[in-house]
Amino acid sequence: MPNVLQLLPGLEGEEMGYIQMLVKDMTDTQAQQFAIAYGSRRKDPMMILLVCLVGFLGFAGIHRFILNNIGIGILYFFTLGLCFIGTIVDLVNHRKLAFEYNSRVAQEVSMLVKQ
Amino acid sequence: MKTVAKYSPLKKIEAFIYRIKRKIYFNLKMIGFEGFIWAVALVYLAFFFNPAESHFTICPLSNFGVDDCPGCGLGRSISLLFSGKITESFQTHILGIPAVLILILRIFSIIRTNYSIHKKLNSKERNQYA
Repeated sequence: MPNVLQLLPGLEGEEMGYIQMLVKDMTDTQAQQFAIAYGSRRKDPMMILLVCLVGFLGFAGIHRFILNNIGIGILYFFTLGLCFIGTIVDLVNHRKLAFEYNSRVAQEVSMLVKQ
Repeated sequence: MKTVAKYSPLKKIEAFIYRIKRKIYFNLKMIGFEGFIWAVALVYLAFFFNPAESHFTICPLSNFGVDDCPGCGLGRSISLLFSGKITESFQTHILGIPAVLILILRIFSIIRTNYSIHKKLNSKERNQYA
């Protein structure tokens, strides 16, 4: 049974559990393939946090464009991150935001690998 | 174990409260922190916010004395939209009408993702103990 700690040692918490569950019923080569594809496509929560901090300089919502939430990104960009409140909410919530995006990517990649 | 106490009304009420608690906890988990904030903001703007007599604001820009902050304009625009003044809402802030749609769609997408993750993780537990 492939182990997530050997494949992708950088994962933490919720994300690690989710990936372990996806990887569990793959063969070793499939898991290897999955790890390479997912590792290059996933977004790091730390990167989201740093881009989110740019919002305090006046360019809010760039992290939302990176995470593929175009609507909210436009809203943040034209209202200074909803008066900085939205930016602060996303600072608190950056792990969950990244995990939401990453879970979608992982689903997609595992579908492709299992074919 | 069949006893009379099993059918006592107190126990029924306790079980009912327990079920309600579980349900509320589950719903909060599904809507998440972000979705909860959006939902509270929309409800506040729809029912409790009055642009004419707002003394208190948490916006740092208007606390420093900037009058036409774009974010506060958006809030006023949304509250005007909920009270039915669509043209005034459009004049206050162009993004008012799209903002409501975007936020509602976002809440639903958060619930959908969280529910799919929850289903996946729970099916794993079932497999473990089966």
